[in-house]
Amino acid sequence: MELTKDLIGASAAPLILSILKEGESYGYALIQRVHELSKGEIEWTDGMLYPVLHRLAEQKLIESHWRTAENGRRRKYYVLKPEGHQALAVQREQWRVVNLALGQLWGT
Amino acid sequence: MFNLENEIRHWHRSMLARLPLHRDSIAELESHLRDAVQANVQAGMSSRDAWTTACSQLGSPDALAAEYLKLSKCCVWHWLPAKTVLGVYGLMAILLMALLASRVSSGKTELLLAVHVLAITLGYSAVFAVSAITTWSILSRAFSGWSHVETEILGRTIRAAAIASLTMTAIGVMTGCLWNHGRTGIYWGGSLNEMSGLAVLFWNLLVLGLQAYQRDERTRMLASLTGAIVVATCWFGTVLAQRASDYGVSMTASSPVILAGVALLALVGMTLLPAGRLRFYKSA
Repeated sequence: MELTKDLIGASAAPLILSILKEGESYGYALIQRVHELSKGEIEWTDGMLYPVLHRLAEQKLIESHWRTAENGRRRKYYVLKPEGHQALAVQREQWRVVNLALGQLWGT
Repeated sequence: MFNLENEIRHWHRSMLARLPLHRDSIAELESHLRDAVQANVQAGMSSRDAWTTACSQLGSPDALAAEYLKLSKCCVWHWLPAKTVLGVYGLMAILLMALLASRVSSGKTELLLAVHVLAITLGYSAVFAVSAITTWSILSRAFSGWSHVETEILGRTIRAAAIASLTMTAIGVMTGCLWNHGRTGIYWGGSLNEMSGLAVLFWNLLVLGLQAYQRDERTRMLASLTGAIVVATCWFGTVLAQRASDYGVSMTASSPVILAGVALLALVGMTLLPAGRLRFYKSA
């Protein structure tokens, strides 16, 4: 099943914030995690992720820092900020409401 | 023979040409590509296939640049030339305000006249400020290349300066009329200075119209340079013409004017060249 572009776009920020709540991560690992969580149903264009990360950083929900990984390669890691935790709580509530409404309509 | 490092270097250069203001982002994308290539190789692909697949998953340089362009609204303020020129402009505004405030408080200058001088100075100077940014852009474009992202940022900068200049000049013209009325009983005397204010207002309206309908960076740059000439003529030309007329002196071009003319012609010439034509080295 292919998700619509709108749905992928709308779910990108809550997915990123939720994954970062598990701990710091970097772009490639974020994409792999989304792939794993959705069992391959959510197919992000890899390049789409980074502008979203930039936007979240501009909104001061996440912050980034460069660090050398164990394999010696430098990577940019992202961490959830306290404001990001608050934004995630709000988004979670919003998605819960949508999920509840659709669940009642569809009887799931 | 496929060489991954060469491919990455080539990709890096091509991204840098499109997004010269996003070096950090390009480094991040490169790191992503390296991770993806490594994973693809571990999955059994050849280096060439791993690279091709990783690039196609990441998206084409043009598509990536377009995504970053959507974020570049803030870049006007992050752009070093704009930051420098705006810093100088802000400092000049503060100094002028302090000077005028002290003159008003000591009774040497009327408040209305001080507001008029401040508004006209800031309005006219906004055009010079953006011309300075344009000059930097012309040199940068000629010597190191140009991208559509920079065109967009330059366009936004010119538009913001035109709006600022239009607003301040309008305030200046209105306060000038009020001050004139207080002294002579008429709002509009039709003097050279007053006509100059109107000329600057119309010029800014023209620039705003041009920015909306003309996306080519060369037209934007030439319009910005012309703006400096229009404002310089309106601001200083009227003073020089009045003085020359008062003393019965015929106006001749002095060395600084000739020098400015030559520099201007050189800038116009560079604007008309293809981007990167004067680059010192050629990329492989």
